[in-house]
Amino acid sequence: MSLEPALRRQLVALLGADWVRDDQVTRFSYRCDGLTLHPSLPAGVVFPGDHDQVVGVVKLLHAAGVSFLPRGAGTGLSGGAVPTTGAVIIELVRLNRIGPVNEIDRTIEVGPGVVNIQVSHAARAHGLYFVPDPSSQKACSVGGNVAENSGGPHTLKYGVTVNHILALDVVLPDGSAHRVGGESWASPGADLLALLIGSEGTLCIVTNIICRLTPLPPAVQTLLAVFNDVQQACEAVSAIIRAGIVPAALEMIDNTVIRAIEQTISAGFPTDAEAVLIIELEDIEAGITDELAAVRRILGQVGTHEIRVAEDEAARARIWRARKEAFGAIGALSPSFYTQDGVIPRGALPRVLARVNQIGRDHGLTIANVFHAGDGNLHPLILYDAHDPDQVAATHEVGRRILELCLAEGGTLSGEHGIGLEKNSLMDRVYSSTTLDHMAEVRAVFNPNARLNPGKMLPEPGKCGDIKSVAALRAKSGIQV
Amino acid sequence: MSDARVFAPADTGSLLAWLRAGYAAKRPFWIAGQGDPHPDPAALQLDLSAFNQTLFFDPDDMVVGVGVGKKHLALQKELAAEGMGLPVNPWFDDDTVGSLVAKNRFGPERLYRGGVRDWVIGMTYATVDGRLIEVGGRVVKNVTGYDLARFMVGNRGELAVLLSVNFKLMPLPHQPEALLFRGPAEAWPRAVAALIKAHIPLDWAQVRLAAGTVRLGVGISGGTARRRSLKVSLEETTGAAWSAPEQSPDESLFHRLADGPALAGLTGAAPVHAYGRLATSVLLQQENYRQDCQVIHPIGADIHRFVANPSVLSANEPEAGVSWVLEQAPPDCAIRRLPAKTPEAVLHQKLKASFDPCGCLPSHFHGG
Repeated sequence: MSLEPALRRQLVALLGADWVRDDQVTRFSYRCDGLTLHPSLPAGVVFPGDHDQVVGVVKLLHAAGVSFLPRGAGTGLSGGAVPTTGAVIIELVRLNRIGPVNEIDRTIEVGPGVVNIQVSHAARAHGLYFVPDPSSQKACSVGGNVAENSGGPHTLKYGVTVNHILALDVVLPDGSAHRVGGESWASPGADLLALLIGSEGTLCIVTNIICRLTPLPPAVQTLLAVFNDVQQACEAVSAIIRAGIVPAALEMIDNTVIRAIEQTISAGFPTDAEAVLIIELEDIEAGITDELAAVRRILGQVGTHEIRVAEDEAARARIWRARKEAFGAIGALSPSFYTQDGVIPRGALPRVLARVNQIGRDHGLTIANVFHAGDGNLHPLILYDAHDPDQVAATHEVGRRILELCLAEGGTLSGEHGIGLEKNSLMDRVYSSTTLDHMAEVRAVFNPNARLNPGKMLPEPGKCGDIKSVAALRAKSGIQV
Repeated sequence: MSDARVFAPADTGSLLAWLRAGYAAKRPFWIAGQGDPHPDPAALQLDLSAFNQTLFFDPDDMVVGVGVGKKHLALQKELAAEGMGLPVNPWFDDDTVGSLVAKNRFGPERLYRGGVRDWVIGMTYATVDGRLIEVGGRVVKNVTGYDLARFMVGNRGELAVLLSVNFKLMPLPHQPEALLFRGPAEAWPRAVAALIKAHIPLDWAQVRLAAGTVRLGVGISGGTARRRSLKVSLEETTGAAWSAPEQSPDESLFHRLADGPALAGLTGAAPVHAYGRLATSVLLQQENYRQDCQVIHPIGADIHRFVANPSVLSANEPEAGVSWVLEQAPPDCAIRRLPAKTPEAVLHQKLKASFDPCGCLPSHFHGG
């Protein structure tokens, strides 16, 4: 079903014919985002070029009673930008203006279509950078980061997206426009920014963002700690934190991922290691020496096999390239993989990681692990063959069991990928029906008819608790990653 | 002897029952510590001092969960015993965890360690109609559902009754040290401007104006070499000496923002670039405030005015472009600082109507 002709004419009159697409190729291209489990064709895709055009488009769609949703780079992994059938996608890629850096306020104003890494590139000359750095930062948009409250390796010390945004210009589903937050670091009243950031495109469409920038660290030391035992690596993570040291990043990569990395980009990681930790310390020169010595001492105490310190920026860049491209490297080992995202208390890491791998073995599947160990944010990658229906079904079962394990340990469903379509049927495992009803009431304040991005984050009526049937439906849909 | 105008529940069950009954009767009330008194003289006061337990504390995971009635200083002491701290140090010694969160009272560490919102990871609150809501969780990273825990920061008792809060923690700074600017008093605005530009990693920064004196101070920490290096950077950047506070009454009080809980005050927030204008304004008004106290956190650009006589607050209209909220204001000092017609205020009003449809709780910002 493409756009209704009268609506199409109105949209073309507003945006121009080039920016209103409902041909088969475009609709097929926008049937899913990074989560391909639930493909669904939109009625069309529109490409507004500025804030006023977004307002105009939303007003037209609102008047026509059509569902719609915003989309950035489409790199999300929880299906937040997957349309329900017949919905219109508002693609924000043209809102890509990067404002000047305000060195005194440490801010930069950007459009939601700006690619994450471009913000730090623009700020670098001023000795500043934008902290949130998801693995997809070369492709993902800042608008997407805001919608999902994205994290990344460097959020252990500095926080996730919500900690680095000062203001948003937003459009509500009725077309009304609002500025939330401002140039100052605090506003009176309840924290609206915190509510809107991470709302997965279900409360508003963001058209402009004031990002808070952070001074570049004067000195950085990046270590690669090599372990012959995964449990030792987990113990090292806890020991470092217990010693009162909060590294800028503390990332773990297991043997399966190390082998994939070496097959693809040859970062020089030891392929016989069971796990490596990437530990990044940041401070002034006079402070980093003490911290480095303390970390070395702790690593020695837990039985680290080898410690490599990046001697220059090129060596550091090699380590981070390996970490950031690890997901892609998995393609060298498996035709398909499913990226899970769960959080546990950091102290539970050793037993949970062992249990995760056992769950995979129970179902005959390999699980690779590359994750934010310092935050307790797991990313088990379940390797499978999409052409084997049994493996597809097993993949869903493994994913569900991993999430249930996270919840049993006092953790939660998502640390940075969001709930979207992927996990909304599991929300009643986390929150009471009273709390979920309350969240629905909050959504109704902004999005009373649920016309904006329907079916995301909150469970659909009748689906909560029906995990088995959801898994069966997902299995039938086929996974194509 | 119990006060019939105060309800002090001993547990969550009795609180929820009281809220349900009150909601049915549209009974007005206000939450001691979380909000200012209700303008309706018939309103009851809700006292949550019994909700003062530490619910969990895991230093290895750097998380704590605590009832809103616990005193902020008591919590910090408990955390410090394990080498941990909540990097938020507000200005009233009597502040509870509920005050800290509901009134968004951060402190001089705002720039370097974030504000209250940056440390909240979960919360339990009761709605005005007596439903128990648990949001967020106990883990340091969480994007499961709407972030209603952070949303509640700064609501000032307008929306719901906060009961417990979960925080992410940080290790206490190693060997912390305060340093005072020893250049000419009138040079402090220039010194602050230089600090802002220099990106020196301080733990906190604060300007305190009281009794006709101006003090600019910063916090540093770390090993000897680190602290020495930071001190050299401070002196090179500002062209003046910096040294530890003395034990004189003036300098030993430096860490206290207000001189006593009896003082009322205004807290304002402005963009950092407006700091220069604020500084000038403050200097011009020193005569008016000679007996009182003003504090600027120049790098977070928030300013606090504490006065013995609250009527001064209404007599001195604050600078345009700065958002102000009242601190410890008496009921008759009803200044509404957030312009009611800003686009953001419209959203606040809609949310207020959804959370509190009968208007049981006061409205501090929007002319309620």
